[in-house]
Amino acid sequence: MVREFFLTLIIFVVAIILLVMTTKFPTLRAYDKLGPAFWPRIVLLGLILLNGVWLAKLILTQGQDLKTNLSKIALGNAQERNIFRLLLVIALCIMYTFSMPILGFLLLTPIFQLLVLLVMGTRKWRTLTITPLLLTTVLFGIFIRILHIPLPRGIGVFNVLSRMFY
Amino acid sequence: MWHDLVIAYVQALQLPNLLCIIGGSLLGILVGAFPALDTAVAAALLVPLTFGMTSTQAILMLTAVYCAGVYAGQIPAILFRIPGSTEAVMTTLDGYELTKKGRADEALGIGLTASVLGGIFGTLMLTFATPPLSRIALQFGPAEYFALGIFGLSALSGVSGGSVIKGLTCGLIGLLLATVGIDAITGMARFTFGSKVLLGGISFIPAVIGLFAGAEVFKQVALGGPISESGGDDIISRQKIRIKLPSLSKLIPLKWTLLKSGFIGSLIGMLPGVGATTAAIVGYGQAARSSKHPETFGKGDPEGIAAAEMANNAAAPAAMIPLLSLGIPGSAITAIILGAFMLHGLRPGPLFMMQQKDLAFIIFAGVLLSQLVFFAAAFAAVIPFIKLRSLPRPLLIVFILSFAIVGTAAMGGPSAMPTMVILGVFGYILERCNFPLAPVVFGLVLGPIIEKSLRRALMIAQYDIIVVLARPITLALLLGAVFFVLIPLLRGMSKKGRGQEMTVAGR
Repeated sequence: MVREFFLTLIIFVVAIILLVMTTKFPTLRAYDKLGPAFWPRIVLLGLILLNGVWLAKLILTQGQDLKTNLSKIALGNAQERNIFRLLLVIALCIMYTFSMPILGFLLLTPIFQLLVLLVMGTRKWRTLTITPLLLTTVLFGIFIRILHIPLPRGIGVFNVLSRMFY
Repeated sequence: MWHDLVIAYVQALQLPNLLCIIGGSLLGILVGAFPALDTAVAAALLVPLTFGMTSTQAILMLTAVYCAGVYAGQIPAILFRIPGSTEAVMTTLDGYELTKKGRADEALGIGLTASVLGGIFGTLMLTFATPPLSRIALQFGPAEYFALGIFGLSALSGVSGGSVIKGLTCGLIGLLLATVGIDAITGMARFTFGSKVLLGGISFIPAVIGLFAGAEVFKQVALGGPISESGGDDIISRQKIRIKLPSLSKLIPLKWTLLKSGFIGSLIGMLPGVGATTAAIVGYGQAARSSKHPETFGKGDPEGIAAAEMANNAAAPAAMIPLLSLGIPGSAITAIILGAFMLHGLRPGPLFMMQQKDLAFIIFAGVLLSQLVFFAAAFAAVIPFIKLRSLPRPLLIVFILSFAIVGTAAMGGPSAMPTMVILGVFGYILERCNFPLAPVVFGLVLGPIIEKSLRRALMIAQYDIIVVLARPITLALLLGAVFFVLIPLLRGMSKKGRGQEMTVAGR
């Protein structure tokens, strides 16, 4: 319930901010009221209305429960013991995504896979070495060799390194 | 006509033609089952290769790629929660839930059967109803497209997982995500925050892979308890999966769902610019709304898979209707097929059905035969995916993450990879807070159709909304949407009322 409350609150606040942003969209005389802000405003007003009503209902009907559950969450929840692992994997995905144009697909992919395996608790050295090498080779074969898709080569020395292979 | 049809089937069954259908079907299964590959891209790559073929062989091969590609998207959707093609997005909802319950073989079986039935239904419509259906397609203007989008969106009530407010919120989030990027009408940037990457908007396939596959991987990572390295640590990997075709006794109760979805798929498929994904959404929504147990949809109901697969596979042959009879390609792949027609000196259009009747009938026969070919090939095609399913959880997570991220990178567009990861996290948060994911996809698919059509319709009608709404097809579709939204609400209220009466009587 507390999670739902917070998510609804975030959606409500973000929708208001975005609605304010639509006032800065350029207006074009040729389109009169049907300019770029026309549809987003309808959608955002819908979101604000729905989530506003939902928030009011949650506060009025379950206000006491919310307070109790909030303190429970602050103390920590046993079910969330893997949250650190989850955050690490998400961070690795974000780093992989944003570093690929710089470091290139070929160098970065096995490192990413190795780190995810380590975070997931794999400790067998054979799995840790063979899986990233094999999986990267498969990806390389499918996307670069067969489909000729130009996956990022990276910049500088990484680009030179990648060009030795594709 | 029957005589012509028999001759067409005999011609299509000639070895070179049959080999083209088999080759096209196998290629279609391969690209359709691969999340990062698009059947349209595969068809585009094939076009130059068809130059050495006869026009009949070329068209047969391309249509086979298309039909088999639409089917194969369901394989990773059911086994890994990654829709292999956009058309399979609705199959993910119930297919993966059935896999989690240890019933993947049943899900694959019902999916394959519904796909083949849908394909045959769509082919029959293509063969026998092309002239009347193309006349209906011509009636659709911006106002009708807007109403069709709203009608599709009304299916939200069927997939909201018990809370209409949460379903509507997620639907609106999807509509909002669809507005990011350059506005198609005015050319102005919206919600790009100064980023050039966002100018192209949020790509649909990375978004769907993120929402479903990304969210599922993050859920698996966050699962409590130790993770086995030796494999077989969950119910899914312990399953001995194969395609288990449904018995007739299981199929007969689904007859009305299948028939309705077939009609919906054919009607939506023939509309230019709408496509099989929308057909699957509307077909699924209709099945959920008219079901006696709507609460089971999205939680592993075989009827959900049947509805979605019947609709999207019926839409694929139906997409050929405007192409052959009007010369209008309704989607990327039919545009490529049109290109192949022209490459071989053919010009589809109103005269094509008269002047090239024999070729048209061979194409109809080829589309039907491709359904039978992919039906047979599917049993072998699922084996590698089933093998992957038995990997230990850490390896499976690394495998899915790598393919999802690299696959979206390969789809092009600088926004693809960040979109996948960010929407994966967003999808995980939504699921943790018990918000349904399917409505976000509804919004993403239907948002551009609704917005563009509404604004165009209003501009044509000089801002008079009454003129827009008063068109007969528009009015019928909008009333249908209102009716279908009200039905579950009224049903819920009457159940509540009955519950209160029983409580009072109990006292």
